[in-house]
Amino acid sequence: MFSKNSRFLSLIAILLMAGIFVAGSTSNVSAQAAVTNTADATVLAAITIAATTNLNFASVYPGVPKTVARTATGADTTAAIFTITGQAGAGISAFLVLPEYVSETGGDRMTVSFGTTDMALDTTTTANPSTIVAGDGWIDQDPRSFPAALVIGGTVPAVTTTKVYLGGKVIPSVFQTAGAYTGDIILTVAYNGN
Amino acid sequence: MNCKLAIAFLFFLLIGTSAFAQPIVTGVSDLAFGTMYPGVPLKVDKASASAAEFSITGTAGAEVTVTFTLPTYMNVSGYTMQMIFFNTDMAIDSNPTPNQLAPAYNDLDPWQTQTVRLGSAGLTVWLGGKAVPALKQQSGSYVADIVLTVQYTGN
Repeated sequence: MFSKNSRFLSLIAILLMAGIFVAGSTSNVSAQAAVTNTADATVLAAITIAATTNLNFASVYPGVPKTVARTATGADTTAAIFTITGQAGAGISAFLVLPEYVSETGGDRMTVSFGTTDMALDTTTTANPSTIVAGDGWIDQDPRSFPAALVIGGTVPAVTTTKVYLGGKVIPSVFQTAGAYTGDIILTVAYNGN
Repeated sequence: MNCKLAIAFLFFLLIGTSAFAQPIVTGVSDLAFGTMYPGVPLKVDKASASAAEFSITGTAGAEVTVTFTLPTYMNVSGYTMQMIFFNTDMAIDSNPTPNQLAPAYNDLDPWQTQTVRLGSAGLTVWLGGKAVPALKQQSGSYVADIVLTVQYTGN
């Protein structure tokens, strides 16, 4: 038989243990917290480049150099046109890899050269190689060095293209082999974050 | 009478052991990279207004661990863009008036659990990072979750 005091002491002990258990559980639940935040970014459209028109010298005679102006849009001779498309007004860096010669299938080569004013850059939608003026972008540029401020089109009004016009000169030798000569002109363009 | 005393004692125990206020973590601002161009990486400094900011409150003076769960990619419609967190991209300030430019704990590694004490106003945590879009990165609004977990150490 337990005495009255013993029963009360037992009750206190039980309640004490229960209290510690409950308090301990409560402490564990409240000891940790977490939150989820986000990282966010909006990526604009990637740049695309199209070789719209080839630099076409048409027929040339052995021993007679021939120049195609950056303004040429004739039926036979044409300036090269590259069209760069991307985010309107975005700063870009561009680089042309120019050939030193063009070659025919038999392996003969013909020298091709590019002068320091053989390139124009058109940021409008209205101009073409023959009508571009300084206000349309850049004229008489060195194709080996694009302007640092080069952009895609403009923002007011929104224009999403910049066109590159390129002329050049071929210098056939007196004994140049007859045939069709070709060479690659490679344009590389990337956003520069400006 | 004794029974009432026992219940009162139990109540005291419950109140006494609940003295540590539950830590509360709040996301104050996102890590915002804004507009990005394909092929042009962008870094957000932890001291900039675009850095992620978290606020932690709890029992002043209590020691806590702060742990980030960081993403390695941001996503949109199945496309991914790489993210990089460097070992100095995190800062914590325990001052009542947090100073993002001169925090008490600077250049911390967000990949590691940090142990600090809550200040009188808790803690403010900042996180910077870098996003690296590919040259032909798909356009769109990319997002990723950054999870911050806070836990009392008991010290």
